[in-house]
Amino acid sequence: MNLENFSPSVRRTLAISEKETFHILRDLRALAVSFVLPIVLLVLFGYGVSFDLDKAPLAIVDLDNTPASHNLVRNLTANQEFLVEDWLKDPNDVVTSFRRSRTLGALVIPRHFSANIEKGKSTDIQLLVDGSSGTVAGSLLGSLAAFVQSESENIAYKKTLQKSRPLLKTEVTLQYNPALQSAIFFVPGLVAFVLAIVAVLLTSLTVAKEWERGNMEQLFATPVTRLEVVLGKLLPYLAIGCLQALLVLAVGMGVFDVPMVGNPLLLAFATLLFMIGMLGHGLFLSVVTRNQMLATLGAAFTTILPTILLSGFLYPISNMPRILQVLSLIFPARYFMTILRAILLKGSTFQDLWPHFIGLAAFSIIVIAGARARFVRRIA
Amino acid sequence: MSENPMQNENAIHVSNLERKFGDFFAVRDVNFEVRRGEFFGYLGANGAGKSTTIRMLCGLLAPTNGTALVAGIDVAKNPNAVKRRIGYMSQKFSLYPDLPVEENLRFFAGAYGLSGKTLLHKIDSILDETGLTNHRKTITSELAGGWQQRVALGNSLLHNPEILFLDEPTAGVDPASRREFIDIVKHRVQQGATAFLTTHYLDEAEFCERVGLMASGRLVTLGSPQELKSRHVPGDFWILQTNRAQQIKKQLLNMRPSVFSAHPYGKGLRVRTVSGLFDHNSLTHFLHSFDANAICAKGSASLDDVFHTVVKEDDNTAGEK
Amino acid sequence: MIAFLAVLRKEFLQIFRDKRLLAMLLVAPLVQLTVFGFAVNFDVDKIKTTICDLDGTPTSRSLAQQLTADGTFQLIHAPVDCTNPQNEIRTGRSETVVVVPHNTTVNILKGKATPIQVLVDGTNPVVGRFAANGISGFFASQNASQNASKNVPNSVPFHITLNPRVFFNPEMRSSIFMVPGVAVLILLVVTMVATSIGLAREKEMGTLEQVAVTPIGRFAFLFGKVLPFVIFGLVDILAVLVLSMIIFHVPIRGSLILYFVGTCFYLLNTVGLGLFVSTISKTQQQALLSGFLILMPAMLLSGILTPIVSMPWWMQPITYLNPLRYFGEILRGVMLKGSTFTDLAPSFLGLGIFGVCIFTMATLRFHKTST
Repeated sequence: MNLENFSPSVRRTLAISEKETFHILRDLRALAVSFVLPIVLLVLFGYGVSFDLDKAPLAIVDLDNTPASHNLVRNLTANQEFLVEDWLKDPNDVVTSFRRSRTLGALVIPRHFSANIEKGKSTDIQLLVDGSSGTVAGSLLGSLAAFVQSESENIAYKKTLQKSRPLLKTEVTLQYNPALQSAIFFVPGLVAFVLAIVAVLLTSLTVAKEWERGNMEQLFATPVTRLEVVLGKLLPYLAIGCLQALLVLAVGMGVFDVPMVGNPLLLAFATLLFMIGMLGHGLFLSVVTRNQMLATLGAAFTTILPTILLSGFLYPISNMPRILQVLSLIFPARYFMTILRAILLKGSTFQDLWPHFIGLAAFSIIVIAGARARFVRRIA
Repeated sequence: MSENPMQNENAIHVSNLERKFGDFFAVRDVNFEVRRGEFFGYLGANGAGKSTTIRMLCGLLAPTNGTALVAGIDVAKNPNAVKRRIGYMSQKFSLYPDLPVEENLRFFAGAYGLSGKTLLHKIDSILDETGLTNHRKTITSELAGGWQQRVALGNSLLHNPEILFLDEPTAGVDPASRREFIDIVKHRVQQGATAFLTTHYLDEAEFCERVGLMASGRLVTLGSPQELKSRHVPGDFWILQTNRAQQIKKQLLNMRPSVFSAHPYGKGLRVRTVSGLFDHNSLTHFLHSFDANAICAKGSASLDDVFHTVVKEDDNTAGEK
Repeated sequence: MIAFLAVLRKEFLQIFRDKRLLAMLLVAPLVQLTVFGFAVNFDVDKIKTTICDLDGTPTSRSLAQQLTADGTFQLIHAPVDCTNPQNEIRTGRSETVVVVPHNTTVNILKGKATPIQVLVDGTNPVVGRFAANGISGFFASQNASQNASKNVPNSVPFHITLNPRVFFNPEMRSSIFMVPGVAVLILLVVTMVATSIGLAREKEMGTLEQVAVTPIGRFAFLFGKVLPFVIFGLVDILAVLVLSMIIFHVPIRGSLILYFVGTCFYLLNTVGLGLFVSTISKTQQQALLSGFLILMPAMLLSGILTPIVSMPWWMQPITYLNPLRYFGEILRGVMLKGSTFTDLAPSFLGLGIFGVCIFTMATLRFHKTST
């Protein structure tokens, strides 16, 4: 590149960027973290992070032991949602099965189950659930309730050839993710997560290292200005970040069938804003701590955890206590997560999303200004 | 130390020592001995192989070939037995900067197996020996560079080592502190310890009884400073004060090979000639034919001269290959 | 032994001198536990709901009121353009839109079926499924009560009903489930990162070489180096216990001895991993990055944040190589289920085998000489 054509300020900024790029290219581990980690995380998340029930292990206590009860169990396991892991004789053994984490729930089919059906009498099936298994317990309750209800209707229909005729017929349309696939929900969030971690971690580490080694002092002996240092350091990482974003999105769309309903340019704009904010955040941390270990720990506490927890990535923000909801407003991941999902899945427009864009922009401006202000030309 | 059965043997005996990193010979075919109670200096440019040698002698690095006996023990075979009898101070800052001086000493004393009253007495005596008693509670990173080196030296003296390995211990330290540092080591040597010192500072090497000089991984020459000087830079040294240095230098160099070299020295020249070529009168006479105000005085050889000559010879022979 | 004690003393001095490190070891974990415990909430409620009441009769208004009565569906009070309900969902103002059509009341009176259109934002599958099931269930129960009240003759004669009973966590509170899990993650981060950084720092500073010329043994040095972090880990887990009981009202049903023994087993794993990371790193930066490369998948494939049964079949066996999985089972078992050692023996075995292997491997890889 012929740098002579630029103004001195641009030349100096590019010189810093060039040096930074050399550092990045020389450090294979950092490069691996930049490009391999996002893909690994995406695949692990895409496949592994799911709350769907699939072959959930159940215990069956069949006290009836008749063709009718066997039939019920056969129907239960027909669609692979459940798996019978234990056949127990005594309902009291269920707790032991839970304690050993062998099963998540148990159906107790009562004595006289078959006889009651024959007589047209209503019957209770008991469901025991391991409530310590979190989300699974809830899904298990819901889907077993639905199963038993449909079994009940089928049996009643066979018995009486009468079907209940509902007056209010609900016609549910699941928009944007009709199959309710976890991946479609998590992959856009993952883009935000990966970009946040890598950007903050890399910048905070590299700049803090320069403080530790005294290179910064050397740099200040030259006519370079604070803003030039800040921008020069950010540029290469911004480029890496954009490549990562492309890579992660490409894998997400190719492997996990994430749609792109909205405007890609709007998405690119949001990504750029978010990256600038994240890089500025990393820079800010390293300028403030000047110590690799503290900068990284700071990055972990202010980026990784809030991005997982306070951004709506895994858990809905509306469920959190009021204080945490307010707290989540200062983390840009929250805005970016919303924007990503809205553009990719719903095709939302700028008019729909402008408040989130303002949130992103405000964060970027504040951290970059902060980093520049703390970049005191004095070595403590 | 008197109960040591190998008292009469050499403190260090190195034969055919070699260390390769990939295809690169960091140390190649090195042979030498260091006598007990000797203050031995090891010189060489950066990257000449000094640190690699010292690290092999301390059991930090395995040689690829050859043997090194330290205190009569083969280092490669029994590094731990060697470690108990040597002290090592590296060129790298190797103290815990966040701990007080006392605690650094305490930790390493523990690492050498001292405990209880013995440990406390030992620390007191080391603080006294290194002049650090008033700094015992100071956080190490708050000490000036020269003082930190003393703490590091103190660390390596804790277990009364028979042999002290000092790898460029005084790099970056002011001359006065360096002098005091060397005095502490010398005191130990007078008490019977052996010191093996690598250094860049040629004035430090002058204190050594014998000096080895490394270049490109080889030990090129070895002897007392005096021997090295007469071996590598024989002849007479003269210091000339003159305003016409350029012209005189040219004239002198025309007299080669009787004149070996003439280099700028302050405003004048420093000249080495064949022994007895000039005396004071004849040289003054010679000079006055160019500059009536010129003055000359007898100089002497330094290890600098040895170093430059040897390194140049080595470069030349290397170039001839 | 003397050398070991010297290392131990030095480590503690360094930790207590470094207030920021101390904060990271003791305060940060507890803050995280508290925030995590409150933030992680799978309970789906307050679903943002818009009702387009095109019928506009007392009956339809009463339907809307009953649907949003228990707070699961929260009514959005804003002017709605009911000609285009999809818009509500695209902008994110509502998560569900229920359209009650004209003539609903009239149809009910006539006994004619009325279609109720329900739009659900499926972006978040957990919320989506819950909302869809919840609204369908609501209208089904409305049907039943309508039928019963009008004595419609052709209603179903009998029912098989599900009678659920939830063990260990009857209210199915997320925090009860998450707090033990979070303890697993926090212990990992704190002890593994601190161990790997601690050693990498000594390498970087050159003190490791100084130690290497002393006759101190590899095991004595490493044990002295990691023991303080194990002790801090135990202090953390004690604090977790207290916090769980006081703030989150997590029950402790099992044996406390098992709780602490399990923690010791686990800490062997985490410091072992930390040591291993430091053997493959020359600098603190490398140690941190490698640490993250190991941390992230270990956290994801542990069954702590998401259920193992929900992972694809080929991924589930991999979790058996993850100490987090075993410790998660142990902590949740001991705290919530009152599991005994017999119940948890396989987890203890897995944790023990993995811990001994990783610790031994890391120690053997850790050369005092930098050859």
